[in-house]
Amino acid sequence: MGEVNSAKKIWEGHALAVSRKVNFAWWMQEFSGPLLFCSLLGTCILLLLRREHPTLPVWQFAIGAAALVSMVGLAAWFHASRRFENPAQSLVRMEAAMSLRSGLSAASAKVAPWPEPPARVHAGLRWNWPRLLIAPLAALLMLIAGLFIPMSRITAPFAKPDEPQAWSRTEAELEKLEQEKVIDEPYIEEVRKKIEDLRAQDPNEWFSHASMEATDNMRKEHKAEAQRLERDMSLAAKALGNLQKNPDMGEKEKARLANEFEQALDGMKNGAMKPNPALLEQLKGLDPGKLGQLTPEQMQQLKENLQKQADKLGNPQQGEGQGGEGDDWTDELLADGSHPGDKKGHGQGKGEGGGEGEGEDGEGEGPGKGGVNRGPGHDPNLLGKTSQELETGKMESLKTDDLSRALPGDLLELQDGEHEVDKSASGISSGGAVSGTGKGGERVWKESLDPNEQKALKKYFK
Amino acid sequence: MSHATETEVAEAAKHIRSLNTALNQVLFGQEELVDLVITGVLARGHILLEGLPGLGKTELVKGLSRSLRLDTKRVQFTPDLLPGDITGNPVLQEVNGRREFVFQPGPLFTNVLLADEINRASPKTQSALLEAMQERRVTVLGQTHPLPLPFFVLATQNPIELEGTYPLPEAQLDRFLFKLEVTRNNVATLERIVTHRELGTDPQVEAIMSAETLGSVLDLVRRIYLPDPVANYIARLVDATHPGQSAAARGIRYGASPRAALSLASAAKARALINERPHASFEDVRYVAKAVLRHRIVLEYNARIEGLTTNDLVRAILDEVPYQAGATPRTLIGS
Repeated sequence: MGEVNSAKKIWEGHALAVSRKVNFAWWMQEFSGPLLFCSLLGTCILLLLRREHPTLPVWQFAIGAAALVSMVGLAAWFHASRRFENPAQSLVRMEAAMSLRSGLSAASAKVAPWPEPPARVHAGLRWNWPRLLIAPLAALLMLIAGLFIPMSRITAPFAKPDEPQAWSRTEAELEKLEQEKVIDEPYIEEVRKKIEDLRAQDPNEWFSHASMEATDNMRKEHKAEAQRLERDMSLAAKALGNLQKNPDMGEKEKARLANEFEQALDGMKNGAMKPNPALLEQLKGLDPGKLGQLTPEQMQQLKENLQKQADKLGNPQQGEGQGGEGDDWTDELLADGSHPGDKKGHGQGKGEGGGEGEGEDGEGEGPGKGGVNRGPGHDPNLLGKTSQELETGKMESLKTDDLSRALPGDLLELQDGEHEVDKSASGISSGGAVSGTGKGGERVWKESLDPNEQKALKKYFK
Repeated sequence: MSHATETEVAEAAKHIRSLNTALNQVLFGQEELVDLVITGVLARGHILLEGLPGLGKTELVKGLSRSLRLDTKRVQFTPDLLPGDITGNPVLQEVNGRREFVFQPGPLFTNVLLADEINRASPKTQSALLEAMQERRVTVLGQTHPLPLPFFVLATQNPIELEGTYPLPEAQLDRFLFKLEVTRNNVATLERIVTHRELGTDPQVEAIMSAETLGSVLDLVRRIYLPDPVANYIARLVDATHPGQSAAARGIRYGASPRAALSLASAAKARALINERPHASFEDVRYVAKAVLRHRIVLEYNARIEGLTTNDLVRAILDEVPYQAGATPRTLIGS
């Protein structure tokens, strides 16, 4: 009886061991996949956390990783437990593997005695080492890597970049124009809105190609408008000046000057940038045909007013001594170091280190030597002396270095003239004979184009 | 019902061994066939023997009936055989001065019926055997007549000369516990047959056990313990014969019936008794599986074209289905 019990205990002990082995194998099978995935995820999280919190000790991260692995293991255990086998099932494995002809099942059912345990009891199972170890080892390596791989400390976020100087410069110009009431308010608001739109972009996009192009366009438009208004004002002032200087000129000449004045006035009225409302009202009140009836004082006052406004437009930065020429962003870059120009402002002080910036060389005595990050500027006289402003009829003596070819009394005078225009009459004579077909485009228009083509062209260019 | 004890099993095994020895004296060189025939008889099953003429099928059946001292009748099945020819017919007789139909039992009323070349009979006659084989009784003109017990049908069929034959329908085949293939003898066996046999002379077979002993042995088979894991294995085996239930069943159109599972269990028990064990085992099931299942599954057309046989598929199923019910994790390797 004792032997029977002993055999039973031995077999049941072996069955218990086999069932544990099988159950552990099931658990490892269920655990491997999630373990690998969670380890990968955990490693990434560890690296991120270590990057964000470099001061925390590693053991705290290790505890976190261990907790994660434990949770995954627990979940895998619950999942695998559906397939766990009990010792009775392991007995079947053993009797099948050992060819015991169901002796153990019969013995456990008390139908037959327990067979004598052989020296080696087995269930015909051995570990599949690659499947068993690869996933846990890979997970372990990943977590160790996550814990101990050197990580660089996270750097402070990038500071907001300085905005393009063209914006601030344009704003400064607008402010100046606004303060001096040189131009109309709506134009100033419109340009300011454009700048705000550009500024509203992501700061990382401020210096993108599109943004720089938009800035450039805005600057060019603004500059072109300012030049146009300045030109119109100058033209108007010049016309008034000529009227004032030569009150005895002929009627034809007066009419031409009045026409010039009227064209300049139209340009001022119709452009995007308009002169300040007071000046515009004053000009609108003038009848171009009766300019000659103004008193010399009135004409002088009007001319001075126009010239003053034109000067303000031509040099909006004047008075602050800040690089009037450097109105382009490329100029800013050039100026950032040593600008040799004859104006102060940009190009100041960035000649760091060995830059010998000489940026404050307001004298314009030659090209700058450049800074560390800038090349030398250009000689202000590189393109010759700056021209003097000339007016019609003003005489100026000419200078020459080749005295052998100079003549005494060489003078330069500007005169108002007009192109040669063929004023011969053109048109169709009676009987269909062409008496005068004109010249150039007019001739082509009349001789080469039929009515339909003319109609189409008129419609196109309307 | 108590389970068989080792003593009872050992006692019965003596008789079975004697029977085995006797039948091996009748049929030389067919030890496995003899073993399976005895297994089939002990499992109370009907057996279909398939083989070429002259291989000793009829001699085996005759030897079995003699050694068991059982009443035996032989019917040569032919196309013109009528059901009444085997079940019996009512005959008009005068009984006590009155004329009435009296049932005259046919050759079915015996212990061992040798149905020779069963596939030559018409389906009508073949189907007359259905009730007898399954329920061991015959119904004629509304009257049911029980057959004597034990009752076995040992049928033979010839796998050649199939012209004018009627293949047994599936339902009929399913009634047979085993389908055994009688193979040809090797040279040594042939030499032994030539040496020990005379043409036209039946071999001498001594009676091994009485009908009562046979009855007790048959009862003992029923008391053989079938462990639950083995029953589970039988169920999984039969299930695996159905399409989609196992990889091997891809070539099968129709799988085995629950009757096949019962047959497997019964045959495994008989096999355990032959091996002197009070309990059946996986190995017993495996041993009889081919004989039990081969005629109960229907092959797919493609499988037949590929030359597969039901034997091949049963073998594949046996290799595929493990003894234990639980699967083995991939982190372990089964040896």
